[in-house]
Amino acid sequence: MIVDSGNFFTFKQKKIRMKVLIIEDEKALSDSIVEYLKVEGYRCEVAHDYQTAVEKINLYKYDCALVDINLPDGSGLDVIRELKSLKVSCGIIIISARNSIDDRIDGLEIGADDYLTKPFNLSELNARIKSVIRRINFSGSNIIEFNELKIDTASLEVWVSGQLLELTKKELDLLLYFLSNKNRVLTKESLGEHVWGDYADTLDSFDFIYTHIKNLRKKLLKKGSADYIQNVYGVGYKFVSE
Amino acid sequence: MRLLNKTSLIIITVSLFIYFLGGVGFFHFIRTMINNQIDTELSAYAKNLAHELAEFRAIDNAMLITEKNVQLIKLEGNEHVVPSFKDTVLFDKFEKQYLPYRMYQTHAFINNSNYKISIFRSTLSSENLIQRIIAFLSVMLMLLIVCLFFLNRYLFKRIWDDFFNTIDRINSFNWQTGDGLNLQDSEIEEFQTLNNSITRMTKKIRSDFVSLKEFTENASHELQTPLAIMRSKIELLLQSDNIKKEQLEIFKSLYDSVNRLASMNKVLVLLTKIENNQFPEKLQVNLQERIEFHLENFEELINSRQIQLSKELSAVNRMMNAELADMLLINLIKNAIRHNVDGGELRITLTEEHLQISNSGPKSEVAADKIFQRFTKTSTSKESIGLGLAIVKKICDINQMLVNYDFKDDMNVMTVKILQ
Repeated sequence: MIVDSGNFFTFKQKKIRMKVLIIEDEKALSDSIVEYLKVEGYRCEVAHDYQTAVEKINLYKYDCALVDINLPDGSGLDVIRELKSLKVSCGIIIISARNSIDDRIDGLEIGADDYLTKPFNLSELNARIKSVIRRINFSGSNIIEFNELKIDTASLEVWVSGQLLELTKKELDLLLYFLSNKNRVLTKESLGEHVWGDYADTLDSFDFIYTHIKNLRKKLLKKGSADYIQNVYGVGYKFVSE
Repeated sequence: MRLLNKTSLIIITVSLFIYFLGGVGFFHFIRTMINNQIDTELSAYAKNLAHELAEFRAIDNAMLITEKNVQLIKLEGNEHVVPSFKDTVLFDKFEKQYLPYRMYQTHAFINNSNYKISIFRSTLSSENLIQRIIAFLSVMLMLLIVCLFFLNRYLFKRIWDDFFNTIDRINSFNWQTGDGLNLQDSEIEEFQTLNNSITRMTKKIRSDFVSLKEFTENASHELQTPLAIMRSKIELLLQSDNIKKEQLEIFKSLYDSVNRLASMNKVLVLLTKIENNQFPEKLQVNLQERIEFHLENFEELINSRQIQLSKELSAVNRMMNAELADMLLINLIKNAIRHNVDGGELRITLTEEHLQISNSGPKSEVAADKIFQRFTKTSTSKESIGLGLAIVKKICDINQMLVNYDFKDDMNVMTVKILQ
């Protein structure tokens, strides 16, 4: 089953299933990640230790690798070094329990593309994977298209059926996040965290996010877009594509 | 009061008291001795005089006041005079003043007549003697006190030296690293015992401190992965189709709890890291610029609650870790927004001396001295986990800044003294 979703970015060529390698020693967590990414149409493979990870990256080609730093028999940083020495175009996202700046800097310096600290939202991880793959595979093109929507991630411009739509930076962030997680229930917390980061946990009761999403929806509808954003009772929102 | 001053004061007080009592006693003793001496002489003289007068029978009225120091008065009948000694004064014609005398009164039958005999003797010389003795003693006393004072200081320095050394070592002891406590051996048994006890105690406290720290560190790190699993599983559950509204509510409350746990854990990890000095790089942080930057990020939130922002920021730099400076500012501003009322006021003042962030929210229910403790929160703010101000305090502590909370002019005021 190929679910058409892993490519909201425009493929001019044939649809290719992206391959993601998940290097994570906690089986329960890697299972969750696989389960979530499966729906996006990715082909996921899992390595629970350093040895397996190194074997896999030497044997196969991946579009993106999620790397946990603490592995039972080695360091995820070494996996990244290995990957880099192979000179393959593979996006690398570090997922670590240690939120240490040094790790982050080390990881990014040796060539990782992004860094996520546990515990993270799967929707956030999904958005990051897409962004990384997009950067690597479609360098030069920053256009995301979905039905009547078109977004230029470089110039931060949005068009609805060819009409330019004025959005604030936050509204654009929200829209991109929704587009990365189509047909997913996105919690208010994950929306808040994604858009406001460190400033998010002040957003008492998240009424604030409600206002922003309401504005975004209104603007989209006004330009004639379909009503994609739905409220999921008490939990959050969903971008419904069909 | 210092130990030295305390002992000096006690020694001086006690010696003054003793010398005063001793001085009074000594004065009376000498006085009595001299009086006894004079009295013996006077009574012997009176007897001799009576005897001689009787022998020579050469007594008449004209003779009665022959000598300056003797008075004979003829008494009528058998009147009796009880022999007695008395201190008195007589007027001296030459000196033109009253001078002290000792007087003895008795009576005697001379040639069958009854006479009252009064004999005087000047005590001027003995008074002088006493005065000289007192003066001499006073000088001695002063000398003694001065000697005692210096002796005390000298002994104090010599004997208590080890003790002060121990105190210095304790003060310079660093709990974080465990360095600095190398107590010197003392010749004095009591101090050596003290040193041994302190060494033993600090070792125990230090090992407790280290194991507690390790526990917090490990616990919070180990918690991250299970939390990540829980969060991801709930997120997956939320994605499933045909979820009933009731189930959604259950998942939501599970998700909220996991989020709470996750953010608490994140802060505990952070606090431990600050404690472990894992933010060593320091640079000149432009506080004004950082405040402006964070306010920009908070702008929408501030506007959404119709909070009136007023700021008065001067260009201030401070040497500190940039990341910690940001955390400090974010937490302070967050706190002022969270505890504000809709349509309230947020005032930020930055001067060379201090950073002041005030909000017009209701007065904190928490006592001012408890507000910076971990997990202190008011019942009204259920969203907060009560660790924001603990971070603020910790960051201030390691940067030698003072932070305090005050409620004045209907405003909650957080003041950070940034002067180094």
